[in-house]
Formats: sequence, structure tokens, C-alpha cells
Amino acid sequence: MKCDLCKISEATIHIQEVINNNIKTIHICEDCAKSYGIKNNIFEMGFNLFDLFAKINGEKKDDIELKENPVKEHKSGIDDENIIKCPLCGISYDEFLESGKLGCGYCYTSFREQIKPILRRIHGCIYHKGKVPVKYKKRIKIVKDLKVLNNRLRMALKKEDYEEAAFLRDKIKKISTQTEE
Amino acid sequence: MLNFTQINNVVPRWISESHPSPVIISTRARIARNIKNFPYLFRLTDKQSMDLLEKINSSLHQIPDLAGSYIFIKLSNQSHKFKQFLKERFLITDYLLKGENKQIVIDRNEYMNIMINEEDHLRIQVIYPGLNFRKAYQFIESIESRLENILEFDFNEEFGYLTSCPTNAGTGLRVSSMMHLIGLKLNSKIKQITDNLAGSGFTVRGFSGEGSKFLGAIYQISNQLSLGMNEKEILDKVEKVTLEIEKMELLERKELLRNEPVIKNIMESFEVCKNSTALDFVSAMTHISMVKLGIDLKLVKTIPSANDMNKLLIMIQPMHIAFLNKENLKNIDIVNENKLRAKIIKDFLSTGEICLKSLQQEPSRL
Repeated sequence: MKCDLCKISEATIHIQEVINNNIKTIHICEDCAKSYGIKNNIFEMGFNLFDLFAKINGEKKDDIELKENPVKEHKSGIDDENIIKCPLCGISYDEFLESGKLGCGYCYTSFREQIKPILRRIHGCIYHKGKVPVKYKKRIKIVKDLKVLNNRLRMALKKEDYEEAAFLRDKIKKISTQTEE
Repeated sequence: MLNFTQINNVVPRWISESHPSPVIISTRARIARNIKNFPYLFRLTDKQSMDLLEKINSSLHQIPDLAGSYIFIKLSNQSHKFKQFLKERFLITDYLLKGENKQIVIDRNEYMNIMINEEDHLRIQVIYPGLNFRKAYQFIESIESRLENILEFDFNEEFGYLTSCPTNAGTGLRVSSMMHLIGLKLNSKIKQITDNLAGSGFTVRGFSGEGSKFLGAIYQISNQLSLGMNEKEILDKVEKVTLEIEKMELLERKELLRNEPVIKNIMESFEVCKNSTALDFVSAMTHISMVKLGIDLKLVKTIPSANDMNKLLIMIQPMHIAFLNKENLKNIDIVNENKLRAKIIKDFLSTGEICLKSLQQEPSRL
């Protein structure tokens, strides 16, 4: 069986997810598992597993929908068969609307598109501007630095300045390894 | 079990310390934080809330100056009456009245209070007397920053700090000022002001918080928005509006000096406070409010100053009367409560002290 993610290597890891009594299984190879931070201890994994499910389910759902129901994309709203649920805490979007309270931090990712207009209505804005935890500050800085360096690399290649390009490439490599740490 | 020697003062310092404003009673700030990988209150099992409490407590114990001097109060094994008492002191919210694994951590001066397993996993609150927004937030931040080195909070680059209710997302910061707006109330200008505030990103509440009436002309004004503005902008915004309202209130009070019926009412309230043998909570709040105004306008002379009168706001609440009056601890009925309330107020006006006879005795275990 090939890996659901890269579709090249043999899948050796099989993970099950239960939503609404439907069992879904995904099959992935060791390399992809590593890149998603899947470890033996579930508590060390954080939310990566759910990102992974979202990614694979999302891709699959699109394929199925296109084949089976071409009208689907014209429909608006959420129908009964496709209730949005947070995969981590299990709360449905309707339950959230009813109580006004979210089930966990991951709900903000699960219901991201639905919650944006709600936040806009409450706060008149949907982007955080205040304090950022130190850990995130470092991460955000690295992402910004990489963007700048990549732009410079593109310019250098365009100008055929290979010495500069090599220097930038090494620098990008060095910073990229920092993010993985 | 906790006893009263652990609660330092009869009334908290944020209401008893003197400060210059005759209008602004106190400043409060709080932040909401949740710990990563734990569900929120309504999805939290008892086991998870216990783990969460242990995790937070062990983190708090790693902060050196905090672990030694702070009081940890587990709420689950406290009586409902004692929890009501803490609520009257603004130390707990309705979410902490019921349920397992609820806890607060307070500093000995009762300025700072950490609520655990509230609507959010952590609520850190600081209350200072008078106008003190920056100092209040700095206190919170000093604790939050140190906790952040130990605990990982739910945070998302887009929406900021994540909270159980989206109304608190972003900074998780809510700041408020408690003000005595008797002049604006008596001159019928308060309605227009509170309506305007509600329309421009502020929430207006009464003395006892959400849903409470504006007893004694006391108003709490806070920011409604926590996302899209940084902490400084939020503090500045609430401070600015607080100062504006203070200015308006002082102008209205000057007007009242020419208002005969109001002066008559102040004098009547003063007589009621000095002579009553029984007072219910609502009318006591109204009379105290008028006497406070009378002292500020120099129409009545008392030993306590207008700001000293604020102490009564805490003291005359039902559970404070019940708990501080040892003899009637077990069974205080409304008749006795009203009698004691009148006595507290009368004694306070003549001596400037809160002196219930039983308060002088060794505090009892609760």
C-alpha cells in the first residue's frame, strides 16, 4: 500500500480516526510521519496529527465530491451529512453556536472560516496585534527572514550572480534547520 | 481549611487605600489564558481538570517569590457561603462557585488573584485603588511572562491567545474602572453616556458585575474588544474614557450644589445612616452613595473621608456581614443581617472604623 501523502513510498504507519461513528484510516510512510512530527507518545505530538487528518481528508473529500456531486460546489451552507466538527474535542459547529463557547484551542483552526466573521462582528477585526509568546516571536522572525532571503536569492539568480546565490542558499539552509529544532 | 487570619484585612486594600480621585474607586485588569493540549471548561473531564490544576500549581511553585508568599485556596471543599464571601470580594466568579478542581491563588495584599479552571484555564486579575491601569497590567504581565516560560499557552498567530469564548480572544485582556457616577445619575445624564459607551466598544456594568443593577450609582466600564488592538492601546483607550467621564462627573457634582431637592436628599440619607436600626442592602447602597457625595461636596462632616466610605461597599454585602459577625455565623436571617448592616454603617460614620464587636475577637475557623 502506498503512502496517502507522498504516494511514492510504502505505507508502514496506519492511523484511525473516528468521527460520528465513521472510522477513517490513513496510511503513511515513515518519512512523511516524521515530517508531521508523529511520535510514539501521543502527548508529545501536539496537534500535528489533526493537521495531517485535515490534509488527507480534505484532499480525499474534494476528489469524491467532484466525482459524485458536481452540484455540491454551488451549494452554500452546511448540510446534515457534512457537519463540521472539531476533530480534537468533538464539538460541532452548531454546538459552539448554541453555547457560544469553544471546546478547545484547536476549534479555532477547525472552524477557522466560520469563526472569522464572528470575530469580526465582535471585535471589528480578525487579526491579533498584541503580545506574542517568546517562542512564537522566534518562529515568526525566522519565517520573515526566510522570505527576505528567498527573495534575494531569486534576484541573485536572475542577475546570474552565482557567488551571492550560493552564499544566500547556505544561509537559508542554516536558518531552515533552526526552524526544525 | 482557611480562616480569617489568612485574609489579611477586613476589606481588601484596593478599596481601603487612599487615592486622589473622588470619582474613580478602583482599576481592574485581567487576562485569560488556556494551556495547550487541554480541552476547555465544557469539554474538560474531572480527571483532566485535576491534571490541569496540578500542572498549573507545579508551575506556580516554580516561580520563587510567588510560591512563598501567595495563598492557595482550593474551592471545592469550601462552603457555598464562603465562596459567596470571596465573590463579594471580587476574588471568584460564578464559574468557580460549583464544580471540582477549582482554585484561586491570591497575594497577601489581595491585589492579585489567579483563578484556575474558570471559563478559561487561567484568569489572572489585578485590582488597584484609584486610576492605575499600567501598574495593574504590569503586575499581571510579570506573572504571565514567567508562567509562559514554564507552560505553553494556546496561541495562534492569526487570532492571538485563544479563549473559551471568542469575545476574549486576541490579547485576552479586559480592563475596567469602577466609578461613582452619582452626579451624572442625579442629573439624568448617565443613560446617554452609557448608551454612547456601549456603541463605541465599551461594556458598562454595575457594582456586582454582569446583569447587576447600577446600585449606589456605581458603574464599571470596560473594553469590549480584545482582538485587533495591542495591550497598550486597550489600556490607553479605557484610561482615556475613564478620565473623560471623571471630568464630566465632577462638573455635574458642582451643578448639584445649587440643587435644593438633592441637598435635602443628601441630608436625609445622612440622617438615615446615622440613626437607622435596620437597613437592607439596596437602600444602604443608595444612602451610602448620597452620603459619599455629601462628604465630597463638603455638605456633611464625618470622620471617614469620601473615599473611606468605599470600604462600606464591600463590608455591607450579605456574606461579609454573616462571616464577620461570628455569633450569627451559622444562621443569619435577613432581619439580623439588616440590623447588623445598620450598625456597621452607624459605627463607621462615628468612628471611621469598621467595628463589629465580634471582629475584635480571635477570627473563627470557617
